[in-house]
Amino acid sequence: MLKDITLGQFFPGDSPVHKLDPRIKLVLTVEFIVMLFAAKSMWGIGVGALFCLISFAMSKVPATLMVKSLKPIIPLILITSVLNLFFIKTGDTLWKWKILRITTEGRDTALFMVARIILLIIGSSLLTYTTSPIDLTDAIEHLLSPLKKIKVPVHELAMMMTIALRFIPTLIEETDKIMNAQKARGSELDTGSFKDKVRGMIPIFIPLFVSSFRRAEELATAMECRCYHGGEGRTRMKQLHTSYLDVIAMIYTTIFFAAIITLNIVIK
Amino acid sequence: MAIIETKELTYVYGENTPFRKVALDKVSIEINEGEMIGLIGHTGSGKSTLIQHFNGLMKPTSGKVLVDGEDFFADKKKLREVRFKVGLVFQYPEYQLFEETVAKDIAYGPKNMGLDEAEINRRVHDAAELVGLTAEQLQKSPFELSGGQKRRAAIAGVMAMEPKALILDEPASGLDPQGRDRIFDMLKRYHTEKKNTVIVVSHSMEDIAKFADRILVMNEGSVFCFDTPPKVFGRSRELEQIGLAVPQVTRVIGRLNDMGFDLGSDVYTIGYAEKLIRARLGEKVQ
Amino acid sequence: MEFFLDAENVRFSYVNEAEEPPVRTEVLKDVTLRVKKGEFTAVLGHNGSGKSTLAKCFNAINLPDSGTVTVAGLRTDDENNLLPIRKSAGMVFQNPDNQIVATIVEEDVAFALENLGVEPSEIRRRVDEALKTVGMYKYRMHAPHKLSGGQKQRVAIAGILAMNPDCILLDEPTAMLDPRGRKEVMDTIKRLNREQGVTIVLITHYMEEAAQADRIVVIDGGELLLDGTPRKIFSQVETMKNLGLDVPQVTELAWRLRKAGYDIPEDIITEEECAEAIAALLKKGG
Repeated sequence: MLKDITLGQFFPGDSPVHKLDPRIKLVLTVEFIVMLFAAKSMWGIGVGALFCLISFAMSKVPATLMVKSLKPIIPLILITSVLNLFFIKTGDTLWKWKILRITTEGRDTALFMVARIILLIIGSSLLTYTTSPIDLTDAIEHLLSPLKKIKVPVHELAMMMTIALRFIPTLIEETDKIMNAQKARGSELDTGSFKDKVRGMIPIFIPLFVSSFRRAEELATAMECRCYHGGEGRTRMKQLHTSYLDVIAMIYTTIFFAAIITLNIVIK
Repeated sequence: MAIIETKELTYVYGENTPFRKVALDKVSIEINEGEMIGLIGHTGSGKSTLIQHFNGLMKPTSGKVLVDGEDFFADKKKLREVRFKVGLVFQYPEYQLFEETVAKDIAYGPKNMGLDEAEINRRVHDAAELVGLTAEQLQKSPFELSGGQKRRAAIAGVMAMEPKALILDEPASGLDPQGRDRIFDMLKRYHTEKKNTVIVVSHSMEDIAKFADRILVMNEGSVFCFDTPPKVFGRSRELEQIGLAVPQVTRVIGRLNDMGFDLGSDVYTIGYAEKLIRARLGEKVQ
Repeated sequence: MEFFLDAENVRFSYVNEAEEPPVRTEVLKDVTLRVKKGEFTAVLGHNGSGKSTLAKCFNAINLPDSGTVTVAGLRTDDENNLLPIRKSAGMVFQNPDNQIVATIVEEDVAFALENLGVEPSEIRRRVDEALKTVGMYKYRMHAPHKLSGGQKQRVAIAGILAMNPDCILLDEPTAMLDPRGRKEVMDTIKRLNREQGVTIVLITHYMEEAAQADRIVVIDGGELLLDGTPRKIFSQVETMKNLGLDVPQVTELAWRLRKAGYDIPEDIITEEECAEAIAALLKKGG
């Protein structure tokens, strides 16, 4: 169950998309999101989808992952479509039952909204699929570094993110182990009713908290031993470099952005 | 009579994925009531996967697991009962402690069994006595205990369910020599007093050699051998070939055998080696 | 004679502020320990004897209540010495999971150098070199959580090694590993000591590991009790047993034979010596 979550996972590769400077990639992803929100028609969304598909194809990340990344947001997709379908009352009636009514406009808006959400997730998943978590945190640290001037602890935040990413798999594994240990003592996590399962969470969470604190303490000592003393005077092994690929990617994204704006003007 | 029996038990991880791995390959074994079993194998040999089948935490890909002659996977109710019949103590069990007091934590299993207050109480005190925890320690928070005490409290939590078979995965790992001895002495005592089946998974041949009636050696998901300690250690060369470390004395006797002293191949404890050498010297001195 | 690590009359106590009044537990009582450059010292003692506390004194994680600790001539109580001390005496801990910071092996090995503000190209060079030394170079792009325990611990050692330290302090680095992982780590430590002259302080519960050191120090109840070569220490079988410690099986076998009146050296610590001594006995007897 826990292992199904693909969001935030990195799939190493050496496609042009992988090779982009993570800072540029992050900025372009934000640009893509703005693009989706700028699109005013289904045509615009179509252009966004095309951008997404081409980028995905270039990244050589398996297409199944594109679908898989959508799994956690299925509830969100459902809620969005239901809300739009049934609560938009303008337009011609397509279907009617008691007080429920679906109109053409409801249908169109629902499709539009769902398409936008799906593209949003696919686009941002592409960023995490093709960028190592470390590069991503580095990029965030770099992009946010101007904020240091107003005393925002940018380095500390980035370090926290790195450590969180490092320990997610460890904690998932540990949760699994504790769950099995409590099941062995008769907790009804797999055999009981919903209520039993909820009650069974306490014997999982307490040991998990206790061990997380212990880990945090040990990690802090280990970091101190390795001369960690905050961000001051720190260097990085991997330097971020922009290359001609980044320029191409910027031009490519801008073309699509321009196309969407043009469509907005043309289609009224 | 067999308390745990497997028939062609096979377990495959990640079926239909590129990561497909056969963790258990047609394992057929019988473990009898009241036996003390040592389970050995290096990491990835399938021993952890195997023991998790014994109490239904894992479900066979094919083949069968019978506890008390019963196939329990069919019925959810039976699946839960089997967890009380076959008690499983995981590695580093102290990480599962969660209650306010040690007593309450030990009571968690018995409470899940739906026992009444008096019976739960009796079992908690029984188990605490078995693992050597005092009445005062029972009222402490589990997090105030020392490492070795925590370990024993966690083991007591499973013992209190009074399982017919008790399985422990590396019960002494990470402890100092004293703590290790204490755990094994405690298990030996538990076994003699309760006459229940005990299965100990361990990397340490030295530890297992001291008490096991039979030793099950796993290698790459299959049973390498399942026999009495003299028979198993008689194959010490093969054991070393599959990457298992045999006791130091066994290797010393092996060296002596190579030098032409015929001391037999089934020596695995210091006591026995001593006796053997002294007998040999005694005969010659005569 | 200049000592690399030098603890003079060190006292150290932990204070539990949660209790009222605060409870002081004295962990180290007047410990004096000097370690020469290039020496391989094993520290034995059961849990709670104060051995980890002492190791942390050498890394300036713990500052003594009284007495002084110097590392490479630098006093640990001088704030300005912190980084140079930690750079020249790196520390590896028991749980490999809780000392790896980054999500990629090579990034983790680079961590200390990044903290020290080393030039990026120089970091790259030293990271690669350290990974090659511990035999983990081909895993440099792997995620640490997918490695085995022994591999993780070697990555942790590489992370220290990248700083080019004169000394590595290891606090039970093999306690959580299987026999294979233990061997990997021990081989790495020995190689660093022999080939690169790195001073090693190894805290362990495994007597066979301690037997491989140049020198053994036994700590009990916060005091340094025994200090000498493995031969000298292990030949005191009774003292060791009374301390709740162990001796290698071969030493015990020889000791038992000696006690039974046979003429066998008391300082046997390897299988080879043991086999030869027994062979000599058997030949003489016959």
